[in-house]
Amino acid sequence: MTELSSLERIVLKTLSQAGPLTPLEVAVRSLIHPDSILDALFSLMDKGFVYRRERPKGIERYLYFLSERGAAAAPEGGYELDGR
Amino acid sequence: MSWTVVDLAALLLTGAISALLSIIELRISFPKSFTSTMRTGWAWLILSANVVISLLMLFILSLLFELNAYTAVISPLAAFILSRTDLSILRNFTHIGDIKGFTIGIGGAWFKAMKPLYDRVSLSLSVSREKSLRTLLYRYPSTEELLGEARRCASEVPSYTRSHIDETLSFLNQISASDTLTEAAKRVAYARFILHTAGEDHIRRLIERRGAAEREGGE
Repeated sequence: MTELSSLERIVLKTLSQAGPLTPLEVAVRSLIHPDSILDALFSLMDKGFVYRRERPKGIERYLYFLSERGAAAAPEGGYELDGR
Repeated sequence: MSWTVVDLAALLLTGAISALLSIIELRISFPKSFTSTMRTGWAWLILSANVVISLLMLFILSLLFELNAYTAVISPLAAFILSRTDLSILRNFTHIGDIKGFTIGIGGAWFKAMKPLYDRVSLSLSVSREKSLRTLLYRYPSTEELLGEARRCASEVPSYTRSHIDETLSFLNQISASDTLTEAAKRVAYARFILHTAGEDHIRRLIERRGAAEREGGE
């Protein structure tokens, strides 16, 4: 089984709770610097947990989706990451 | 072949049940933005695809049985169940769960065919969510003012505890002090923060307030 860092787990959980998001959307929901979020997203993409699609008209270029593997690996739990 | 009223009623019934199941599936897939989802062309394409496979199933069943109300009800249900399951004719019973031999991967193929359409719906919703965001960015040309609004939002959320407010303010300070983020990225981050923390209605109020202030200034 692939080892995931705590940051990668947070990103997976955010995507599983909120659905497909842009990197800045993940950042504001998890309150983690966008650069770290991007690193985690790229790492998760390499591991096959996440994939992205280009947004033709959006402010940010890509939207990140959970793959089946990512959805299975996303940490469970009912609480919202931002406490709302 | 001449069409009777019963045949047409069976077709309509199959179509209606299939459309209903498809709408329920879209509702489950996009619970928070169902109305916006149904405004996208992709959602109607998904619905049409489901109706088509149900009618195909009705055609197959009508060859085996009579075309009547029973086949009309069973067809969409059968089509939905079959297209969401991997059917295997032979299984390897020595490796539980490992399907070998002849496998009709209808479910897998249907999922692969539908997934890009669902992704397209998500992309459309993601872009449509940004209309108010774009207006906010336009109305607030100053990054500092936008940061001020974001800070105000963080402090005014009633459900936030003191420690959570401190955490959110620290996040905003990190963004503000970042050397790697461009000015545009910072502005989008603040706007997204306001949207997430205070919601779309608050953004609309900010836009209206700013618009009114600009009009007063212009008079």
